[in-house]
Amino acid sequence: MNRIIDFHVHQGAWGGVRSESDRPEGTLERLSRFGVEGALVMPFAGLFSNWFDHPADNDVVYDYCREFPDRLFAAFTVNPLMGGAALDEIRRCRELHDSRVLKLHPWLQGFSVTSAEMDAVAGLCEKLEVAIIFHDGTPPYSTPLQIARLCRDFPNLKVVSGHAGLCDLWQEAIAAARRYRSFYVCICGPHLSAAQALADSVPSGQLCFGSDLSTSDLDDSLLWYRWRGFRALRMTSEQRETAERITPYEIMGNPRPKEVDRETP
Amino acid sequence: MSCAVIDAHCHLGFGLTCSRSPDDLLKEMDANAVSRAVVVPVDRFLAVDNSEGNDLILAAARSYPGRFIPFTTANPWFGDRAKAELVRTFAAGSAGVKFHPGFQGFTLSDEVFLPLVELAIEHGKPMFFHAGTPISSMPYQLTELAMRYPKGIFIMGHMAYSDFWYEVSASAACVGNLYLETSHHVPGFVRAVAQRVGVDKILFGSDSPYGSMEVELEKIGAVFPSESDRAGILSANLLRILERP
Repeated sequence: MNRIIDFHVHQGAWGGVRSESDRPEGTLERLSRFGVEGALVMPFAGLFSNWFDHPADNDVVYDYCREFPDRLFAAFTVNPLMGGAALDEIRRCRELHDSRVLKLHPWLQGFSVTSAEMDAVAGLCEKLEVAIIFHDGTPPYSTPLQIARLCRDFPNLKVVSGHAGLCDLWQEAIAAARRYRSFYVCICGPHLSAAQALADSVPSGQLCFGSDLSTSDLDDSLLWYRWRGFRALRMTSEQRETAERITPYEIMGNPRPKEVDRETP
Repeated sequence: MSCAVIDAHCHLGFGLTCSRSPDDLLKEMDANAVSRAVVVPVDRFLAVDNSEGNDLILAAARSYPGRFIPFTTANPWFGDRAKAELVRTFAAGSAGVKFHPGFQGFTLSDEVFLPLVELAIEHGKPMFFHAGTPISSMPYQLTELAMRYPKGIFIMGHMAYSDFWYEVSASAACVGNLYLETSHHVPGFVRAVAQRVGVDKILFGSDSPYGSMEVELEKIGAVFPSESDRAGILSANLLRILERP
């Protein structure tokens, strides 16, 4: 059976710093305290760094997840404004690491989802079967309907609203999910009443949960707060199972169990 | 929680998208050992049917003495009628004013609502603001207002959740008359802001029924291990505002 996945975790901490004591074993232990068995692990440093640092920043996340390929799933980032360099990094991550999820943060990375540069990235991701998870909920560049237009223009691209529109734009996330089957909603930030409305309204199979945990922030209160809220939602067991265990894997292309790279004795 | 608990932010009324009866709110309060709650109107009562919503919460406060602290509202676009409505509710026992720029269609930089701010100050009433929605209700807008009216008491709802974390503590730290209510914001942020601005500026709120009183109370317990800090956040800070001369 698939594991319960937290679909919104960042490696490191806000600003891109990383704690020396931040270890994947510790992150898994912390997740397990809240009944969570795995995570999509996204870069933090890469959202703040220059484009020429992206390969190295992405590789840090891969290294972090390497020992636990069935529990920690690495995502990577690029900056679409970097044109060919961004496309090269997408190809590298897909070919070298079999990456299936690209993280983009239009607000931090300063680009518009409605731009030629974004179209180039989206087109390549569609072709390579790489889903894109966006920070959203924040005008002017990161609203759910802004990112949902990619579903219209790239119908085979999986697009994930990383925050379900937060407290002010969650209705947009519902509208987008109803319009596009390829638009997924990660509940991570809306207040509980909005989260309940999302759980009630977003079509089954397009919903998942995320905490926004920063692995280098050793305070567990965010994990507790977010998962405490998810478990307070009124959902059928089937809906919950789908959101926790099925949809995250579907977005990631249903990865097969992997062998851990180990030296031959 | 061993100290008295007052929830600084709950909604009452039967709106189009949100409904909460006094009895249901009391059940939630009793289940969580919350002795009193600031009550404000819901959706349409904030936007247009101000008198109806205000009368509902004032009636609830009369029906359950000592449990509800009514904060009434008026949409500033009603002009002189809005002023008259607030004066009426103050006379009927309103303890403060709730503004919701999103529902009421103005921004915190908009002069249209300043007559209501001045009226609240004249009557010694604190003002609670929904905050955190871009364009209409952002931290520096509220800070500017608090600086412009140093005799007013301003409460920033939700600590302006979610993406204004850089501004919130910087805002509250520079003015003495701006308080921060805790609902929805993440525990680590609430802790960090309290460390920067002082726990005496922090007010516990759940935003029930939009938020869960139980979860929000657990958050305060987790974030503030000191009983004296909790006592301030859970009741004393708000009482100091409400009972000031």
